[in-house]
Amino acid sequence: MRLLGVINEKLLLQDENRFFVESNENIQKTFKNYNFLKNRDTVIGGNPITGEGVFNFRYGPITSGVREAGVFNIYTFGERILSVNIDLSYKKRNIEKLMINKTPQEGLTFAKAVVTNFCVSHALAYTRAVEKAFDINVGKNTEKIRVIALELERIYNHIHLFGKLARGAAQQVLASHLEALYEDSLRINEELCGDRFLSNVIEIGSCKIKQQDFSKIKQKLLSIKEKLEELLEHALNSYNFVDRIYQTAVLEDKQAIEIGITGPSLRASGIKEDLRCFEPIYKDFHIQTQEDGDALSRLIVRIKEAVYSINLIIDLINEIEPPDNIEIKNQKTKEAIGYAESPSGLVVYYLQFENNKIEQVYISTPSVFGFKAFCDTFAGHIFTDFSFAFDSFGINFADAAR
Amino acid sequence: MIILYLIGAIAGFFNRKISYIIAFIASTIALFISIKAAFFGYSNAVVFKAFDSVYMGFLVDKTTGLFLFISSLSFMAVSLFSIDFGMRYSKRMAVLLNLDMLGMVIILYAHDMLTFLIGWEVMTISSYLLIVEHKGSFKEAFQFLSFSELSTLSLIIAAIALFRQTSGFVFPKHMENTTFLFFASFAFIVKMGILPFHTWLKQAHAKAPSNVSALLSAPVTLMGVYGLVRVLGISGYIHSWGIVAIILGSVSAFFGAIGAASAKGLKVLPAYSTVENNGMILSMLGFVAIARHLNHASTLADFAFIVVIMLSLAHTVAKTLLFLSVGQAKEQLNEENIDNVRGIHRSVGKIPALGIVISGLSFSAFPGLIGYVAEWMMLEAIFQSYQFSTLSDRIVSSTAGVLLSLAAGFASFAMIKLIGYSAVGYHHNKKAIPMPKSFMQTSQILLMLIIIGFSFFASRLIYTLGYKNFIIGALGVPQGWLIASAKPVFGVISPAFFAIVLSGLFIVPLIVYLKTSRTTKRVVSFNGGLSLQESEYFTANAFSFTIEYILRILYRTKEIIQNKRAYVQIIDIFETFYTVLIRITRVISYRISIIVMNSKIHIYIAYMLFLFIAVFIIFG
Repeated sequence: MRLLGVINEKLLLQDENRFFVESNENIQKTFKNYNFLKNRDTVIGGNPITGEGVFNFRYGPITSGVREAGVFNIYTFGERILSVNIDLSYKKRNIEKLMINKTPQEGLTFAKAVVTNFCVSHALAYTRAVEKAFDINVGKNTEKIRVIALELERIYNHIHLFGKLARGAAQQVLASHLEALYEDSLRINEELCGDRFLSNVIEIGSCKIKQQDFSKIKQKLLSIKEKLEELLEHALNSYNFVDRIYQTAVLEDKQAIEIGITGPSLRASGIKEDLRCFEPIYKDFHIQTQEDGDALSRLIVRIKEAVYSINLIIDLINEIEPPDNIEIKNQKTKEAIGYAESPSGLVVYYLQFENNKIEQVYISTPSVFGFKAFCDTFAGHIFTDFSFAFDSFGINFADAAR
Repeated sequence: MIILYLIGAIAGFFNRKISYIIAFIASTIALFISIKAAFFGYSNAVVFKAFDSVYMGFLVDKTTGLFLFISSLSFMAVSLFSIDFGMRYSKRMAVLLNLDMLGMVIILYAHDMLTFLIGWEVMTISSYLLIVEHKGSFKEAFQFLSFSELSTLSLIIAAIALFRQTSGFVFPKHMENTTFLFFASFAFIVKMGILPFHTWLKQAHAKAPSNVSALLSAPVTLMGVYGLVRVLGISGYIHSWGIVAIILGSVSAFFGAIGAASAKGLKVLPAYSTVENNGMILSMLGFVAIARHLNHASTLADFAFIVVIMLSLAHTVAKTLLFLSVGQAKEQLNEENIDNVRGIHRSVGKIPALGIVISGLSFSAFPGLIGYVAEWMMLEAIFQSYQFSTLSDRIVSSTAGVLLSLAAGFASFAMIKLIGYSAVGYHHNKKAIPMPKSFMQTSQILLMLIIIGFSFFASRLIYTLGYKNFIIGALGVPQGWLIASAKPVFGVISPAFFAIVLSGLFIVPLIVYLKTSRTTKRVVSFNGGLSLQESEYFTANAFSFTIEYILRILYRTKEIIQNKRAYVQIIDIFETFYTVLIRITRVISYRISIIVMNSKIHIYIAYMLFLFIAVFIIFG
């Protein structure tokens, strides 16, 4: 069982592919991530450290290297990182509060706005929750298109992350190739869905896709797959590159479970868990894992996942038919939970409705757990490991701050 | 001059200001006498019969002149500085400061070993009492005294060896005596703070009042250099002595420099810098010894000796300035650590900040300053070690060259840290305690002018000292303004010409630009969009940590992380050795005291008799 969030005094829990909210004081003591989740909107990470010569190397909120508005408080006595904590307040938009009293359709716009590069995952988790509450059963075609969009999102995110790691390690040629691949994957998104970041695909009870000759798309995807495998092999044979990410920010399996992290970061620590395997559409789903839990393992898991996603899309794309369009009527249940396996882990939406309008929202995002894992694993390293440690978790402020 | 210092000491009982003014006048007279002796061939001897065949007296020759010249510059600055600074301390300081300078003048004037020892003890005891002037410094003062008395004991043994061979204490023109050479050299090496006898420097400097630290670090250790030069003049430059000196000196310079690079204390850093500089000086004396021994036709020995003088001059003047500038800041801000005095240029004043910058840059061998000339000459001397004929000499000299070059690099690192964090660092709005400072600042300005001026006129200085064959004219530089490191020419430098070119191309246009620029908008540097908090300043410790980590085997670096507190611990392995030694001594003395001093009078009498007989047997 995993604790995903603390909603006032209730707990948002996950048991395999079953999500539920429970109020039990005895249970909360068993979760080591309870306090961190309870305070996720104030500060994430380790305690401030004091001592002779120790200072807070504040990194952010506006500085090169930090791509979003956020602050890393890095405590160090020079080079060695003693503790890290993260201030998300600069990116906080209070999306959950803004969603209150909005219609489900209006709420979807907010869900998509949480973070652009996970907008399919957020929209899917949100719509699944809404569809549960309003008793909407989407058709198989809609499911397939949603899965294709979700996997396309996974592909471009993973390629982008690989590129960032390569750029960080000054592997300029490798990084340039990966950036070209990243651009190719975004163009496929646009070709298929009319939007480079797939923000218009997911709708409540429906979805959007351009009907066309998919053979070109398949060819392009196969080309990306081929290049990606080749580049991974090249990268793993480059001592300079591997040296920067091998044994960097090691997340042990026990530690990963305690934090509650999901997605590739969890699987890179040797834990075989991916909720896609519970979905019938993912036939004979194979979970990618690695054992070391370091930045290198996380990269390998991601790239293998991207390759797997390409194969999956190629299989599904032949069967695409125009999606159904189901209208929203009246809510059937007061509360519902929806989830999606985003490129960096589970996105879970807990929604409560009143008179067909949103009454309460709780969003569990993978970056919250990723930030905690980053803080815990980065301590002990030196600052030059920063980008490798951070990027390997595939996290961002917008996702965590909401 | 000696009488003046005595008058100054007596005046100290009544009026501190007058006492320091007298010390300044005496030091100025000393400077004039030294110029006559060092540059114009003045020499004089006053000898009187003390008892039996024992003669004592004073001697002024070129060697005396050279070292008195260097010392008196420091004396003048310290006494001038103390007119203001000394007001914060007791009258005793004025008395002791005069006596300390007097002791050193007696050392430099000594015609014989007894006079030398008297001067040595006056210097030692007054230095000890001066350190004690700072509250809570008994331990450090006692450590200083322990090492100083080790020197004295060694000198007494050397004096006995001298007496046994010459039936007197007068310094002979030439005398070959291994015991004399060994013990005298040992005494002076300890006084110079050469490894492993350097630990007193760090302790004493950190605790002593800053004007005293300037004396201890510059002229007091210079007495060790003078002693070595005097002893080598008597014993002759011996090859094996040279090898040992090069090894000890270069290792000491290296360890001193890495000590400075990691130092966090405002006065600990300059103390380690003294260890480094004196190591360089000792190494160069070693070069002199080997060069003289191997090839009398070579100019390397003479050149290396000039290097010794230039290094001594550069170190004494710059170190005096550094301690005085740092001292003023430390006193006015009441802080001990480099981190806590950021922004001296704003909080204390531009003069002490500039003093730290100029002296620090001189130690970093920055062009246009005396330290640059001295270190260039040192490296030129090292490069010429190809002249050494045996493989072992070349290995030793080359290895020393590597260590000395590394030492120079680490010293620059240390000085950049000191300058960057104290003089020109971010201001942290700390208010300086108001103090009269006109004399303090005058002395610092005087030293800055000397550091710049001696660099500009370095070639003329060497020429006037009598080493005319190293001063030439070539490559467009007029005759008399180019220093050559050998004959035939090996390497050349013209600090004066360099300064002119530098001024013409950079400094003057920059000043003109700054003066004519219309408006200057001053803004706080961008720090991620937020104002910098006190806890967010990059600390001096952090600056040093990279080196502490890379050289963790030498530093024995330990990263201590305990819950919410963390710090880096580095260990001076030599201090660890002394700590163990002290512990063992305490245990043994405690055990012996229990046996001997147990209120039984017959045991105590037996103990005294035993010691009396033992002394007779040993020294009979």
